[in-house]
Amino acid sequence: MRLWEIAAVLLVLLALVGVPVAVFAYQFMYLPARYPDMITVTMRTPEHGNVYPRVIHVKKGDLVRLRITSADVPHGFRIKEFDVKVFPVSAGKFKMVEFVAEEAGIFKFVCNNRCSPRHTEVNGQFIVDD
Amino acid sequence: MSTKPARPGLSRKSFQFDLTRFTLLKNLLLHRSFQFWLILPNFFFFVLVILTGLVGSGVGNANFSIIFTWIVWWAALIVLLIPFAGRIWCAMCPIPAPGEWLQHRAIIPKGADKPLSLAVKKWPKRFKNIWLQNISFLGVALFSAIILTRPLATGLVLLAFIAVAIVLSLVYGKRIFCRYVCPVGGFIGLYSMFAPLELRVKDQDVCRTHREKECIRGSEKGYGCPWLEYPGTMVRNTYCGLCTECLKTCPKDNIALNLRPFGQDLLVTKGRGLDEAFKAFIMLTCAVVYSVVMLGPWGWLKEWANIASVPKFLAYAAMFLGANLLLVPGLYYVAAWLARVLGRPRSPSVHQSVKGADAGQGNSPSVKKLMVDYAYALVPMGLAGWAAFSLSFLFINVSYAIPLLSDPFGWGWNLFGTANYPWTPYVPEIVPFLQVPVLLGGLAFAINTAHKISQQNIPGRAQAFRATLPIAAFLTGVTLLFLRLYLG
Repeated sequence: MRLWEIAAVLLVLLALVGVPVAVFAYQFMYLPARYPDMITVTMRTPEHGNVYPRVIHVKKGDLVRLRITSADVPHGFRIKEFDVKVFPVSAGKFKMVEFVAEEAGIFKFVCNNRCSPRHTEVNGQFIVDD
Repeated sequence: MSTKPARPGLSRKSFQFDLTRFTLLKNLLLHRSFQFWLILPNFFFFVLVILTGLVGSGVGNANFSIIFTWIVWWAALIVLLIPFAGRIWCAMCPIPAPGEWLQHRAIIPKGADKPLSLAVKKWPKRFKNIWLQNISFLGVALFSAIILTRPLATGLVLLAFIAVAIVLSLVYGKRIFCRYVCPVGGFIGLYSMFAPLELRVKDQDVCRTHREKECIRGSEKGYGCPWLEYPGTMVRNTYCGLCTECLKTCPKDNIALNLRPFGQDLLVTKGRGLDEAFKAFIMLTCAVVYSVVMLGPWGWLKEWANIASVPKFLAYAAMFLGANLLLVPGLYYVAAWLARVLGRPRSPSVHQSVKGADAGQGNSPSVKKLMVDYAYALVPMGLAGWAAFSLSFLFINVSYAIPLLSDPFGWGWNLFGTANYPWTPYVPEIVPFLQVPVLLGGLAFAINTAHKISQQNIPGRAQAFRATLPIAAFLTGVTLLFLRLYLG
């Protein structure tokens, strides 16, 4: 019975500690190491905190990998100068887009789906450093 | 296969089959680790539910906690577990487990009988009923538009359940949370009376002459009943959590796990009470209200329930609580009053010829007693209503679970390659064909139960038949309302 108890305690600890540790290690250690260039952009209406991050920095010539998601309603994502158009991005879903940042400068990315009465405020800066 | 003696209120012997005749199953039930192995998968499940609820995506259908709790678990509970196995969920529920482990300072082996030194108080006598469970269920149900759609709310509510269960376990010992507080346990207990599975003693005479009562006091093999039941006189499923401790402690091998006909406990007169009757009213009313708010075309009502503004929510709360605590019980009181009026004998001699404690010995039972007794006819009706409600979203929305297996947090993972599985309503066209027989079957069972309850209270076949009519009319009206909501 002592062995049963040890096994039970270990299993309970595995659930209480192992599961959270595995989850956070996978999300915050393994995935960033596996995909170091990937940038996740979370689209939100201004009422829910607006898009995150508001500023994206990349270097000229980089292969940019953006992972676009929405935290509330269907959004879109557009950077006109790089002909990047992702539409629609449903709540809770993820869409990938890849392109090369060939031109340096400060550009604007916007939501291209009318997502809220304050839709025009849903935007951010895409900065390509030289 | 055998028959067993009648119980209070039951007029005939009934079929039963003792599952512990299967040696393998009996050995499993007797092993101290049995309940732990039932709980463990659900413990992992709950950890994940709480974690995803607290830190996962705020989008309900992209979060494991919402889909797996309120669609997968809920449907499994209401469509399968309760109707067919009664309180089996309580045997595997992880919510009270941490408190119980701390209480005993052991998980599998027999640990301390007495709780920690904190446990100096006895559970107050005035709360030894299910009124607190009625209130806690109403509290959760009132905010269900929030709890059922916001992962954070789901995570916090489940965390709060566990915290309260731990505190009550440490302060009062035993399964006080499950027995008197848990909002889910209350209705599982009531509806488990319908189930064809029961834990009972094989021979009550053996218990009568056996003085040691290990099933209450505990022994080196197990604990005294954590649910504060005495199996020797237990005649209903309502408060037996199927924890199997009495199976382990009984030195007389006098505990059986029986298969039996559906709904047998509904006719047991012992233990009936107003608290349970109100649980039946609340459950039935909530099934209707949920169907109206969540499936109906009235967007404004959904908005009110969703706390669009405080005044609108207060109006919704008033309507919700009014329907649960006043309207439905009030209508049922009127039905019970009509039953009493219609059940009066036309000739006094008929009344006086009836014998038996439940027959009133010449005096008509009070309207309140009739209302309470007839409330047990609402159990099959309410269960059918909840099953029909659950079927309405189960087939339509269960496909949300598939991508969540790969991405439980809604963080864009794809662990098993199913993350992009699209939402796919499965066979939506057959849902009404499942709902209609479930509801009509529930109605037929409920009317039959009501008629048998009439026979327990009203002397004379004709009077009992007449007394059943208002209750049958109420049940039919509720069924028509459900059919109107589901079929349009």
